[in-house]
Amino acid sequence: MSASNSGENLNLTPFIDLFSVLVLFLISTAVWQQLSSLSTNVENSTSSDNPVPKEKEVSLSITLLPDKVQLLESEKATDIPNLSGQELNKDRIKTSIEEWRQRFPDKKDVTLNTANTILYGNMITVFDMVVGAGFPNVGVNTQ
Amino acid sequence: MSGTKGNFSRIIKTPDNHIRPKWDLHGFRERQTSKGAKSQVMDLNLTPFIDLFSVLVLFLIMNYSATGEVFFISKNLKLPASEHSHPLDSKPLITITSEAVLFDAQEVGANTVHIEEQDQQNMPRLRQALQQAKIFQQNLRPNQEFKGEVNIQADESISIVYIKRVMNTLISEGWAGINFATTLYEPPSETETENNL
Repeated sequence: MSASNSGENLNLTPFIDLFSVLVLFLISTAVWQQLSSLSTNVENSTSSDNPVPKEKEVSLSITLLPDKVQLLESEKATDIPNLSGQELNKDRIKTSIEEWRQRFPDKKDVTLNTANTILYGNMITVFDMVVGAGFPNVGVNTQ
Repeated sequence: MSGTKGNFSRIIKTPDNHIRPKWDLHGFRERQTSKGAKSQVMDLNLTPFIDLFSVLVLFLIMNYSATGEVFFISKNLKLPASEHSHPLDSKPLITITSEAVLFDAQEVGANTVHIEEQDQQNMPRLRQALQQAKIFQQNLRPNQEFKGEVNIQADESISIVYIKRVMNTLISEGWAGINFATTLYEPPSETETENNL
């Protein structure tokens, strides 16, 4: 009798048991929604602290108002009106922040001011743009 | 013609021991002639089953997060999306909705409906919970400096004033490391973009 005709099958039951347990464990502990976070350092950002800017140092801040976004470079303000309602003009805001990055390559901090009626999602959108442009220290004004 | 009988003009053949059909039912014939022996072994082919499980296990392992997800996100809470964020670490979690403020899934305060009536100092239950958590962390790691890091998750459509009020409370209680929980932004695929065009 040749070896191929011996009729001995591999017992697959333990494999199936192992795989079943593994699949159940992985499904039960799986994370289906990936969460991330944006960090802010509020110690230097509250307006109550009101840090005195150093001489000749440009302070960059972005103010979200109900109808527009104002980019303030020391005392020079640039207004970017919303597209409609609270819908931000993301392209123009992004372009302006990237211009800041090119003009102030050593600058790392930007302060974010918001009116009380601004949506939280819009604040995070601008926050994300600022971090994406290369300003890692974003302060949120809580006043 | 050994099978022919009689002298009739019609030829009658003696049938064979069985009638052979067009398609020989080998298994059936074997069972009929086996005289009650029912030792027919029917093997289920498990190879596709194993293949399926292997693919499923590989997929799940690839998508498995070893960091562990400890945050509870309520059904009616839609987190804002961000593109340049970093992975969310496990820290005390504050959930803010327009109805309530939750600290580690425990209700610690309630937001009032009217923004004008917000009282920045009026969150006693949140303050108490933060003080307790601070003492707990300091007792747990007495040799380490208290960093006061906390995660905030809030619905993207609520007003920022709710967030500000909680942030002010956090700062005054010494919790200055504030992280905003977001979902990872996934840019639309090329096919979706083409369909929209």
